[in-house]
Amino acid sequence: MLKITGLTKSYGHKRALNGVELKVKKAETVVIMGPSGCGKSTLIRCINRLTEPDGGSICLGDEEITTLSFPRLLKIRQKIGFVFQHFNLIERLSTLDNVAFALRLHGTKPEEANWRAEVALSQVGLRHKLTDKPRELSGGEQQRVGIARALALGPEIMLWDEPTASLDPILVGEVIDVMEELVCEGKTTMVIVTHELFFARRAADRIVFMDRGKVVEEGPPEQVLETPVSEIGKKYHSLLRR
Amino acid sequence: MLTWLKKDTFIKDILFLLLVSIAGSAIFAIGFALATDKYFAQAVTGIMGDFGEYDLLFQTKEELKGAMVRQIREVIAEHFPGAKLKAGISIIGKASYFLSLPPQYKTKTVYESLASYFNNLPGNGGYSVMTEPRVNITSVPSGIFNKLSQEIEGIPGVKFTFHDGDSIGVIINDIHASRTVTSQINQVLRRYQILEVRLSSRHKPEELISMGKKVSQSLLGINGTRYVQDITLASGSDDSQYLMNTLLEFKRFLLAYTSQVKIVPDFGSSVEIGDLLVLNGQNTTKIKTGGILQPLEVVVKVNAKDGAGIQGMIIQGDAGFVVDNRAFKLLPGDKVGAEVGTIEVANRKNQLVYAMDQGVKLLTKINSAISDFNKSTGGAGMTVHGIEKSYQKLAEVRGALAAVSSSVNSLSGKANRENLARMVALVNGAGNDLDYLSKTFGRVQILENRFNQALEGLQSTQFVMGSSLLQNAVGQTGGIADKMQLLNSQLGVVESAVRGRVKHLDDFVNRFNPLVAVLLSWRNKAREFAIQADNFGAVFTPGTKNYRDLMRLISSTDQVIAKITAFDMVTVRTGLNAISNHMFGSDKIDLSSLISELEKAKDSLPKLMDEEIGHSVNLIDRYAGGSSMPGEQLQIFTSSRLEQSSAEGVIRNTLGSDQAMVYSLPVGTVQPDIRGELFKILAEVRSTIAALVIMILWVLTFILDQSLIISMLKMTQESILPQRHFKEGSWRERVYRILMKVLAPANCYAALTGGVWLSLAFLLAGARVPYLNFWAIAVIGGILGMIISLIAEKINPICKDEVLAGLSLGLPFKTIMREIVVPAGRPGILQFLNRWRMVMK
Repeated sequence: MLKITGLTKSYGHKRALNGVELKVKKAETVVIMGPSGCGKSTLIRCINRLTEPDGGSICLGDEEITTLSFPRLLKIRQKIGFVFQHFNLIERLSTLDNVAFALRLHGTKPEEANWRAEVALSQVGLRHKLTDKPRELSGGEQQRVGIARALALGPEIMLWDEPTASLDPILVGEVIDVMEELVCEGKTTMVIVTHELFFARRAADRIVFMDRGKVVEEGPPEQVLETPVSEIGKKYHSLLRR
Repeated sequence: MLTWLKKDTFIKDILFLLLVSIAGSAIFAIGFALATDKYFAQAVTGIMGDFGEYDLLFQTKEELKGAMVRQIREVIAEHFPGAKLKAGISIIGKASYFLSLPPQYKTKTVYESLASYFNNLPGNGGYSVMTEPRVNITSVPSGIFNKLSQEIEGIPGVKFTFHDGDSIGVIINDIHASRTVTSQINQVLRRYQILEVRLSSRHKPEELISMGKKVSQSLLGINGTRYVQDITLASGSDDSQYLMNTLLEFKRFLLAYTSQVKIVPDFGSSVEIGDLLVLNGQNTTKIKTGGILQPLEVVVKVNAKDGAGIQGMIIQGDAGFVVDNRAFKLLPGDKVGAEVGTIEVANRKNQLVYAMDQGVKLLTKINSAISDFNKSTGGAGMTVHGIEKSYQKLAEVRGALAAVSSSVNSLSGKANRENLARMVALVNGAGNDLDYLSKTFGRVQILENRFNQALEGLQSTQFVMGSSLLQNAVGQTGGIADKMQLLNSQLGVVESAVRGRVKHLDDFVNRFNPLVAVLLSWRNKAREFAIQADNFGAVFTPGTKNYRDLMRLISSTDQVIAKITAFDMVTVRTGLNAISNHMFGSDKIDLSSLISELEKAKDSLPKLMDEEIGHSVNLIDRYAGGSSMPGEQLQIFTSSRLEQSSAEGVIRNTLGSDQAMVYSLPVGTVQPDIRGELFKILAEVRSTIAALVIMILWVLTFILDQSLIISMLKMTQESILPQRHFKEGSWRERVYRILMKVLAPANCYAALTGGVWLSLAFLLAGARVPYLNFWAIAVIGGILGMIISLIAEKINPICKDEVLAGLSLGLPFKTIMREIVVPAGRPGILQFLNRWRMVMK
């Protein structure tokens, strides 16, 4: 489904991605972990070119993302759901409108868009918050709205950029629950950047460790977390043991 | 192009925003400016009245307006019945009043006389002419007022012209003719020019007069010029020119009349032009160094220092007060300084008066001498006649003596009594005649002496009259000097003619003197004899004394008769005729009138002290200097046909100076009337107000709307800008960074939009800022745009998270702007216009 080859990205003289190689199969859940600044968020934003890579190749299905024209890219992005760390909701719109936003703007009729938005919100357990504005929601609720917004478009692949990093521990759970539900459904390919080790162990099909812009180790959770070979893997392993 | 136009892009939104904001701002600015303009125009009309409503504006101090109004009303009642006076507004303590004149008083005569009607208004009040329609021609030299006025009055549509200070006011019949008249006035003015000749040094006003005349004459005919007039000292009308000439002549006389002071500085002392020296005058205590100037001391101002020496003029006191020749320097603060030298004073006033006195005295002597001369010629004639008569008498006496002699009785020796009596009577008669002759001749002798004295007087008078001292004292020309010269020449004629005649008189006296003496001697003897004969009877016996006396008398009588006979009466008569001839020129000279004239001239001499003369000279200089150019330039009025380059060469030649600079100036400038000027200013105010409003709206538009677009551009420009990597810290990297910063799309957009917006809005609204043209405004707009770009993100921040969300949802740029960025931005025209574009309202 997703194939990343030799991906590079620099910010000035700082090398964020140093030839990343990654493959993600369809319906696979891949969790990317690593220390701060290792290039995880950069990698995931490069996938839908929210960040423009400097070099390398990103193939989503048959589409070479890195060389797509802008209009075509926009079309591809509709197939890629993105959940942001800071929710990124539209403050002026209600919960329902936030979720129906993209549908309406892509030409879906209002009624259908609203219906689909309601379905998505139901999926995340927020059907009762349709008219609330984002500032009226808790962090966890906002993030769930964000998830619903991404799901509403029916994406082929979901990209999660540290979805629980901005939440307090109490609210993390409700988001994790939604994520696990989605993983369990097994319909959507997911690439998740997170520090949630236990979630990763439970939900991931494959864990990828990154360090200094490179993939240093990847494999099934039981492999990389129990018998890591990389330094990062060993650190995570020691965390689990605590 | 058409395809692009059909596309729905955010660029079209931006263009539409620009269009609406520019047009809207321009309209708003125009409306605001017009409203302000209308307000001020109404204020002006309130101040000045409607067009043509008022004719005169009076202004004076607020506290004196009552007195001024009373005076104006008196004038109106007397000269302009029917005129209306209306109070205007007071500004800065000055009250103003408007006067409307009835049509019959709007004439040239009235307007030229306004100054005489409204002079001396209380509180130094003044008036201005406001009659409309009117054209003012300003900066017209006074010497050409009349000429220009005449020409302008010949223009159709001109009612009349009048002098208004240094301007010519032109009253026009009809407002519609105003433009045509103004154009024709300009044509008239263009026909002439003023040639201003800048001289390299200062000149006295009298020198400027002569130089101006020379230059004017030299320019005639150059480039076909037929009209040239020197207007250098024409401070007013021809009357002023005459006054100026008179004053300058009078100044010249005063300078010749005042005492001349020559200063001889001591060795080592320095005396310069402008120094003040003090001399001992009528002061009781003598001047001492360190003292203070006293009123009775004499003060001299040094006014010339050249090859002829150091000269000065008395500015305090009089030459007649000076008691000694020591001069001290006078320091600032009226302190007496050191002794600097000695002075020589030539008191010309006194010299002139003395010469006139002497002249009168001598002329009087001459006059009486001539009169005496006439008498003396008459006396001489009488002497000759007397001698002739005496001859006859003597002949009769001789006959009587002979008769007595022949009548003597030879015996008794007695003469015939009748003969004797007759002889005695004849002798007595002859003796009386000779007495008279003696007196007459004596008078001739006296008169001759006096005439000789008068002749000496003539000579000395001529000497004085012709002396250079007196000539210099009275100057080279002038009434008194002319009279002196005439008198002198006439006296010369008199003197030479009289001298010749006096010689004749001398001859006469010399000739007759011995003869008269002989006659007188005979008379004495004859009388003695007659007494003798009469008293004691006549016994003339030969050998007796009587007989001998008788014989002696007869012999003496014969001798005298012989002498008379021998006397050349013819020659004497001829000489007397010559003397009697009055044609020696004295009748051509009316000496009595001349004496009278001289006395009148002496009486008419100014009775001024030297200090008063000095003060008068200074006043004349100040007046002449003030009413003319400052002594360093000439002004020549001539045709504009005369080319400046041609004139310059001729003028330099005439003045003998290559330093003289010649400039051509217009003879006057047409100015629109106050109302026109005010409305012109209001128009400029209007355009400036429009500019201010535009500027304010520009700021608002860019803060509320454009900053949002710029912020968005800044956010996305990283993806647009080419990424080039240079060695860290290298100069290439620094240059690249700077270039990218400066030429970043956001900056370029901001500069371009700022410049276009401002300049177009200015253009549409007719806004103007002094000294700035269209391109300058565009540049300023661009610079301001760049400034907005620098602070755009602070003014109108964009929520990047929302934009990222939109991007991640596959929304195009225009949708992100319309649905996410603009609705979240500042409320402005962009947001207002965007509402019609939004899906998610």
